[in-house]
Amino acid sequence: MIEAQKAFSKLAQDDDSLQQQLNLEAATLAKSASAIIAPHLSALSSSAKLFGLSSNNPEADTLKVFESEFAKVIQKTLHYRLQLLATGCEYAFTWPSPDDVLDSGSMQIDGGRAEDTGGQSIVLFTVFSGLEIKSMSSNEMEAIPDARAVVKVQRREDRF
Amino acid sequence: MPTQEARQDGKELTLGILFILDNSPDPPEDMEWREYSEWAIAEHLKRHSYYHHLKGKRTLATVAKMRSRMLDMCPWNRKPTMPKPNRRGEFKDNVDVLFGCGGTDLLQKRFLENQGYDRSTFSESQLSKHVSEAENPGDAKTDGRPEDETSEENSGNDTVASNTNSLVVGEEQNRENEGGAAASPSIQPALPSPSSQVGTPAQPPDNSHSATRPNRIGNHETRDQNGTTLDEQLPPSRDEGRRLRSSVGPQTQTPSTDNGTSSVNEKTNSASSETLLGPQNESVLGAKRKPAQNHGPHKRQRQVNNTTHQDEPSGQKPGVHATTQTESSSKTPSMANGTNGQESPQTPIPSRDTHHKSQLAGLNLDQQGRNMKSLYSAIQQATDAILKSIGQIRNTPSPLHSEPSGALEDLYARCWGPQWEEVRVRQVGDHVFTTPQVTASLLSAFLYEKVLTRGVRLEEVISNLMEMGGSLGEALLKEFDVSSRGESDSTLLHIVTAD
Repeated sequence: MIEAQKAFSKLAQDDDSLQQQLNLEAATLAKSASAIIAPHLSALSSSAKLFGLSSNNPEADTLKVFESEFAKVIQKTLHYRLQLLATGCEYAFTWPSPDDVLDSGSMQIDGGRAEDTGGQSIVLFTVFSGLEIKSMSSNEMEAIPDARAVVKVQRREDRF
Repeated sequence: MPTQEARQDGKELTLGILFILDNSPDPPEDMEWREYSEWAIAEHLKRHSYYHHLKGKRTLATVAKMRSRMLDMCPWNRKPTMPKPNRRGEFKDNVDVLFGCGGTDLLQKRFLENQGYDRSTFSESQLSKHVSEAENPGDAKTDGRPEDETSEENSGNDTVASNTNSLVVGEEQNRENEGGAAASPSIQPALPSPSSQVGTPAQPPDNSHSATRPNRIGNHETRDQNGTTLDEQLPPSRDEGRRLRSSVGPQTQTPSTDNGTSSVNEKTNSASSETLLGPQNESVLGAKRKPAQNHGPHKRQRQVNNTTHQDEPSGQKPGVHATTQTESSSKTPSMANGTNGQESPQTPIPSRDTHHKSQLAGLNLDQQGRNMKSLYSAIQQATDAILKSIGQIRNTPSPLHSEPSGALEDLYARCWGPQWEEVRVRQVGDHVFTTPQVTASLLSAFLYEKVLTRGVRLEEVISNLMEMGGSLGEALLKEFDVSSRGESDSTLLHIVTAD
């Protein structure tokens, strides 16, 4: 069965039709994301001009860059999901909500230091999702230390 | 014709179909699971226009064949038989597919119910155990556990002792049913070995089984319940009246620490300690396969291993949303990188290998951690490139659009909660949200919503692969090479007519 899994992974990597499908899906999703986030990018562009930092790129070019770059991310993510499927693990992606109390077991601070976690900190927002996999020993979903959700936190007493 | 290797690969790809089924919406409560499987398949075919657009190869016969093949993959539509290894000790049965390469949780559960196993305590090793016991019947009494463990448990628990006896009877009956085929001399299952489970068939139903699954993950999406909380979906009367037999052993009262597990457990906080019942506790109350004489809806024995479970908020991760995706398997070699497997099927895994399984899990977890880091790194690189295109606006407060579209508003809400607009106003003064963070968060939120959790894209990819042909699609179709059945065709015609 392990060999079969290897074969699956190899076939999935080598198969042109799968690659085409993944690329197609990634491009479609990236285009969709571009349409959704375009107003936000436009606001960023305006902000950049306000700060005198604009690159003077046409907005269309920015969207092209966005689609191109984000499509790569999506491709990678789709590949990863297929590979996760092949492992046979039961897994769950996590997304801490704003105002959650910081749980260092499943969350890591975005660029933070250890002292930042002193006191009770809360999640301001999540920068990247985490991953949990069912533990074989306890049969419980366990957060993976190296795959904790990346969050921006703030001390509770410092809240505005 | 595809090669044998391609056919084998195709078998693995049937998991795609199982995945689709697992991601189907919740069934109506009055619908039996067998009906549900057919309904889910019909819904899938309908979604992909198999019924409405009979163009090209999509003739009615093709649709019927597709449906028949998919139905045939459903474990509950199969005659329950124990998997038998081939000469090399490899299991060729679909059981192997289900448990070795990503069979979905839902389907595993249904399969186990048909087989008479207890889903909550089942380990893949039971399959190999069942076979190996034919060679060493005496082992059945200890069920693979060390003697001291067994004797200690039996001495303190008459229930366990009686269960052990019933285990022996059950094994004998199983062997009879299988015509002694299990006594293959060349069995070297590449599966984790027995994890010491003893059934409790004589115990009365116990409602406390509902406490065995702490709802630690805040599943907030409909499809979450398909994979992880199936028991909770089933009406208790059906759940218990038809299948369940539970018992509670004194060992379960005291949570034990699992010293042999991977680093995952090391970092688990104390609040969740009540969920960390060690494998020893599980093993004491583990389920036992019932005699495989009845192919109907089998009764199954079920353990209750956590009667002291408390619904403490502290025992849950605070507000962490998660979506369970796929399936458990007791062998999870690290295939996520697609480059290596840590084992070969010919390598027998030692007995009583809870610790070994933990090691496998550890390897796998490390790889998953690296992969997730890689994904995060990709997000950061994309963010840098996008911001560079806009202008070097790093470390400046990021504005949120004042009047976002619906989809963008959803992303804002995902990132900053329903009160995202307050955040938009406040953050200007606080300067807490820099542009790279906000952009990365939005990209990640989109990934989480559309790629990581929904599974829609994978479903489409697999479906398209089947239609497109190609080596993968061909292998998949060939694997489903089951002649159409009249019953399926008539049902299909009925569905088509109804549509």
